[in-house]
Amino acid sequence: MHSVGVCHIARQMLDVLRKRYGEESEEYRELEQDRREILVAALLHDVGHGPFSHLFERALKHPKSPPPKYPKDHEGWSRRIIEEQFGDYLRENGVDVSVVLGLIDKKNRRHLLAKDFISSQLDADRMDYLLRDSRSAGPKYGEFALAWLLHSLRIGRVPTTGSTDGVWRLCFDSRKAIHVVEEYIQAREFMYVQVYIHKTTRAYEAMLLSILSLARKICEGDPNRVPSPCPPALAKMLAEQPVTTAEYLSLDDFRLCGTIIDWSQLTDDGDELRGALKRKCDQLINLRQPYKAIDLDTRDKQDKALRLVTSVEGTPLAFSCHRDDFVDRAYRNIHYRKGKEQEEQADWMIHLVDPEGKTSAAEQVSDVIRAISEIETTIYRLYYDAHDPEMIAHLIKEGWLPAPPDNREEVHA
Amino acid sequence: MRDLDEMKLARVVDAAGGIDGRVKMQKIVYLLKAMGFDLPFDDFAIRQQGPYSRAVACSADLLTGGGFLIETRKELGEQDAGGRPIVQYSYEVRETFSQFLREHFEIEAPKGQPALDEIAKELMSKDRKTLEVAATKLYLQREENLSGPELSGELMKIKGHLREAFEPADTLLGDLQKRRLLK
Repeated sequence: MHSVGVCHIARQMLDVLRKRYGEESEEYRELEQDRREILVAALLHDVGHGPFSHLFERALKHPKSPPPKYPKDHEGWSRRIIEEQFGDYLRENGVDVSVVLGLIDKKNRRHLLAKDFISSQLDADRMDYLLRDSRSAGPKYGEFALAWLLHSLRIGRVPTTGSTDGVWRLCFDSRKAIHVVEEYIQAREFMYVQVYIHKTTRAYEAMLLSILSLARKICEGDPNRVPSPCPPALAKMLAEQPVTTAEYLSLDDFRLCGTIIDWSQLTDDGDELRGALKRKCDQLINLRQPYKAIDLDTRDKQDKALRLVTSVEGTPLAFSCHRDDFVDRAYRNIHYRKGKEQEEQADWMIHLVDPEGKTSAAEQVSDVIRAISEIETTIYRLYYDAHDPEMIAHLIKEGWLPAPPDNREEVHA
Repeated sequence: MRDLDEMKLARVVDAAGGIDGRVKMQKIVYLLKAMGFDLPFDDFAIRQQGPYSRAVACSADLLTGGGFLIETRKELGEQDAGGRPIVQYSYEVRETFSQFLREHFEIEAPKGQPALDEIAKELMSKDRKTLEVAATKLYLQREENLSGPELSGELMKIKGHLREAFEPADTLLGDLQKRRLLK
């Protein structure tokens, strides 16, 4: 649904700009030429994601002996799927597939204006997922005035290295858009803190990582040893074997959830790792018992946590604890920390344009945006399985958790 | 990025004996990857100062925030085009952490190549602009398959302001190739 939403918003953006500038205008002409490619890229930009998107990529390892040109990540899979599954159809319908692939390729430096629709700090992708996730998760603070944002959409010439005249980029009207851009950036900041990196969200993610790591450990490179039932494509990927495009596409969130339900009902054969897998799947999907978190808010705790996760590597305890860290900003201000991130500069600014065509970065115009962009959202946490007695004993021994009170009754004389 | 990938960056900083400047850090990581050292950070793309990886930038921030890297800020006494002071951020590994990194996050050198410490220190001794031009040229050759006049033209277009670094960059790349460190 998200991809359909992104395509819909991208179409709205194009329509607003066509109406404002005219099909043959200098500003819009390039977009009209790429219109179909932009819409296709919007629709297919996430097609290469595996189940639970980035998490699946973090949990699995690249095949040991991949065939030539085997995709390295979800972007590689997107390129492959678009080419193999949709290439002929798209070409028959007049779509330039190489342009579509370029638009979803973060490394591509061409078609910058068209790329702004798919991959920028205020693109159709972010506009859709913020509103959609806000609605799905419940909090109202992820919302912003989409209609007004679209109404204030403009095209402007933005100065850039290697071009004295600047290049056409998506901009917003400096007289109208300030407050809605502020609202959007604030919404993103709130959604990150309250939803995407909320400790419970990340706790469930840590459990899912443990489950997939355990399954990988159990099979030790042999797909036939993955606990059954399991989709053949997942078994191959857990065993670090390459899969075909059709096999990759057969996996989605529902199939992975179904597999976790099946694994939660594994018969107990006395094997320690299979037992742990069954228990964790049960905790995740049936009992809803996410991992507990400890904030790593001092350097000592940071050190201890790193030493803990490295010391338990190769033991069953490794599947019951997880060190989590994350850093990002709701808006990457180029002047943030006085030039620390200058490398990203024009690629990642939200540009505003005045009626004379003069462009400026949003943070130069708005104190609110400048203030928010200096908030670095960082988390450092240690997650642990509070239902694994051995993990708890280890954490008590290492001084992470207090020892339980002595239950023996005191004998009074 | 996978879990603990940022520790590989800490190990590079450790091997180089500290790195002065985030730009230099990006280019050293890019060149080490090009030499075949087993490093994560697959998201390099051309930005203002050549190949840039957000994963490297985020890793540096995570390591600094966690107290594993020590960050030093220094104003260079120059200003950029917008009149803002040019600031350099330098990084070194906290002393007590170095041994731990070598024990748990060692990065093996590709077969037949000198150890990471030797190469990282050699790259660290080069000028920032030389590394910037060398990494950009290599990126254009490898990722965008440019060669001949097309390569020279593109390099001039995006790095023309560093023309004085073209020759040392060519010398560096030529030397690495001669020693078969670059495939």
